[in-house]
Amino acid sequence: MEALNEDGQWIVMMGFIVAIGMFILAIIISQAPLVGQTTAESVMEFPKNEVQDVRGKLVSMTGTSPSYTLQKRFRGDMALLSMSRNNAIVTYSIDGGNWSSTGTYDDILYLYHDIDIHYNNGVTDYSESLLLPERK
Amino acid sequence: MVMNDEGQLYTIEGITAGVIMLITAFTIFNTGVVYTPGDAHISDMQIQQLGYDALLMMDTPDENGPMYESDLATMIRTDNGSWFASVFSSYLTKETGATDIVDSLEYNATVYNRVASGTGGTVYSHAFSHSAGSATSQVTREPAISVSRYVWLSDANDLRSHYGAAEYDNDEQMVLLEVLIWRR
Repeated sequence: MEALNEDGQWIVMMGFIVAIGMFILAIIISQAPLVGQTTAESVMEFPKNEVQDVRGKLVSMTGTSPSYTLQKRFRGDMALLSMSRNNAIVTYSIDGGNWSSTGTYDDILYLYHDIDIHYNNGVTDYSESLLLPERK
Repeated sequence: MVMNDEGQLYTIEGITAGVIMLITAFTIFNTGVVYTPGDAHISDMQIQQLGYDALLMMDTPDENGPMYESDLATMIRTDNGSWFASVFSSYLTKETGATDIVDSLEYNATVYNRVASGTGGTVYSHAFSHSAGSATSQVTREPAISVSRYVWLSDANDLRSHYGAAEYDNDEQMVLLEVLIWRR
């Protein structure tokens, strides 16, 4: 058997390594959209902006002189509009059943208004309760 | 003892063949799911956030009074769609100046309000404003992204006169502004 020509083994090996390296890089790059998708979907599925919108409206409504009627009105508007357009069930209460102009809790310096928000769009079920201080 | 180093090239060739077969198998099993950046909703997320931010800025009152009417509320209360169009369009095309922005976003805004009826809740819609795009841009388009914002109106009588109906005779009412945004 004729002897194998063993010249240039380093060149051949480096060629293989570079070729395989390119394959692996291509695979890593092809996974990038997948990573972006999970991030983007999780951002879009949690309705951060809608919840912040509702919270902002309630905070500006609280502790001024909104009557109980006004609170019920807006709750009805929001519940119907969110069900018909945003596929979500939204309800809230300010100072719950203890509604009064004086807030639910108080200490020496502040009144605290108790705001409850409930949000459910089938994917995200979100509830929050916050105490909004008002200077006495 | 001297190591026998004959046939190294055959060894390398064998390893290479093995790796190539593995990569082939990997590639074949991966062809079932092919993602492109367009499938990944990344641009959808960006457009959605842009829209929400634009509406948030427009719905921020000039003064820090409670229940103070914002520009957006004034636009809707007086049915001033052209004012909305100029402000919203400018917010959609805001840029830092560092890069060229592709000004290709179109939108269509609709106001939904609850109206009084004998049998519980009914929702009316009112075509409020849309971008001044060409006819082509209204037909050929990417899927639209929906952004919305509740807007507090100080007087439902304006709603009745501009939009045809309202839930209450007068006094405040909450309406929903829904904007569909898409890239043409």
